[in-house]
Amino acid sequence: MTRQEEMDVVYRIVSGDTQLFEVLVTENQKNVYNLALRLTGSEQDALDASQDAFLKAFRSLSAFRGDSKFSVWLYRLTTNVCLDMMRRRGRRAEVSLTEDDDEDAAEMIVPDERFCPETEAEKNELRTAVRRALLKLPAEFRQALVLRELGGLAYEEIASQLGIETGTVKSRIFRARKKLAQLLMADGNFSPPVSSEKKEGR
Amino acid sequence: MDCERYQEYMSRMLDDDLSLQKLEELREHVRVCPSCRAVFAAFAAVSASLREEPAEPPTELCKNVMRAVRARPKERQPIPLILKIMVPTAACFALIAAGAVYLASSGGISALPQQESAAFSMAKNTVSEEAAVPAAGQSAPSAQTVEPMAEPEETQTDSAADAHTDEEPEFAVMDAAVPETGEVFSFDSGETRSDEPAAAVPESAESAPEADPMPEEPVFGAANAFAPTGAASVYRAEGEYLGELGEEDCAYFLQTVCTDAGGSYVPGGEGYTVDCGGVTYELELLDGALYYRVSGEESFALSPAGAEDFLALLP
Repeated sequence: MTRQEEMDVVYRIVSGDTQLFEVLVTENQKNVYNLALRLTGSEQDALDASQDAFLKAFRSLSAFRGDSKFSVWLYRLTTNVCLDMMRRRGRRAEVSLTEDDDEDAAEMIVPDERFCPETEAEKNELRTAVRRALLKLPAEFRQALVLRELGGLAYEEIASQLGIETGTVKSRIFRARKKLAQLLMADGNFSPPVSSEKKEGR
Repeated sequence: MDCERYQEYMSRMLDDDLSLQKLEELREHVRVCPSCRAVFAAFAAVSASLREEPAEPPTELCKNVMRAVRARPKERQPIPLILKIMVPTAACFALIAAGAVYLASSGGISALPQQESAAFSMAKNTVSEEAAVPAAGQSAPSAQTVEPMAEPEETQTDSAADAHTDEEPEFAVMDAAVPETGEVFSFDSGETRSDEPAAAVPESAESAPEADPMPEEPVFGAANAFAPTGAASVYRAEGEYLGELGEEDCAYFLQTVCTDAGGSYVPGGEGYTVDCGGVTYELELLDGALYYRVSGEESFALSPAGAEDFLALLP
């Protein structure tokens, strides 16, 4: 759907043709659901959060001005719903992403071959490990990374949706990736760094 | 700390945010730094894993959302517009369709047949009391003259969103009314179709039982404010006679026509006028959008969907 078609559909829904909302749901449900799945880590939660996000979008559709793509606007609603949901439940044990941590992270060395899964089983293993590790990231880091990787949003779009600086977005995404790589190793899914290469990391 | 910087470059590279020059620097560094090579492999793997084949959402997702959408009345918000009419587009369609039945069947002067009344009161039920007050102002215009239009004072988005409640019942009526409109209803140059009502009315009657369960008492304030006594005639802009509407039908026809307030009047184009007890209402089709106004006053646009539905009923 082009931006123009999107706005036309939105206009018609807002004007009373509420059935037409189904078009927007169908078009976006896959991305919304997968965003929610990565952010909540459970299929049931992802379903609940997706429904919630769509209904929020429906209720506030008249506030959508077309400044961004509808999907971008919807992703922000989705990530907010997910983060609220997680917050209400009480946080899982999250890893810290402080500067001190980055010192350690800078030393991280990962054996290449472990990150080149070839068989389906290896891919599955990596996928599961990544998703598990993702859930350990602090919410705002997870949100930024997921909006980027799954939502395909540019830094600027994420920044404007989250109301933060573009530089902050870059830094959050970078730190999230770094922490993920670290966690994957700590998780036992990947071999520990090769000690002889450690110095070269500095 | 060079590695730290290059690892940040990697992250930006994955996000298409790295200049060619920096990309070249990064390549140089990775060539000579095994640990950064390893880190890059990890970053890329994480990225690929997150981006790969998304899961299919469960089918109940869409169903549940749409069920909730249909069930949930819009939250009410204050509406700044002069006209706030609580008739959704769907009701507009139902109403006009019913009006068409009426035109086609009864010749238009006397009271509505029972069956259409039911459909009409459905639509009427959705007109809010707020609508009565601003609408009262609309009954005043005396002139039939056409004057240049004032600017519209608001865009329609907010008001239109707010202006609808209780979608569910109207859809029932609409569903019942829509299928017949194509073949049975015709304004045919204003000739009333006394030969067809037998077919049209019983069809419409089937929607009446669905209309009955509406619990609230009809709010007629707006209609009364709008409608002078007597029937109204509908003309095309060129003066071609289209038909007549009964008093209440006319009021509700006009109500629904201006359901979605906003838009602007642009002279010219294809138009219709509705003469209702000395007040002339004008309808104009421009670029696929239908605009409405009480003559000499500001105009309101019908939503594209509403306009389409309305126009489908005209010859």
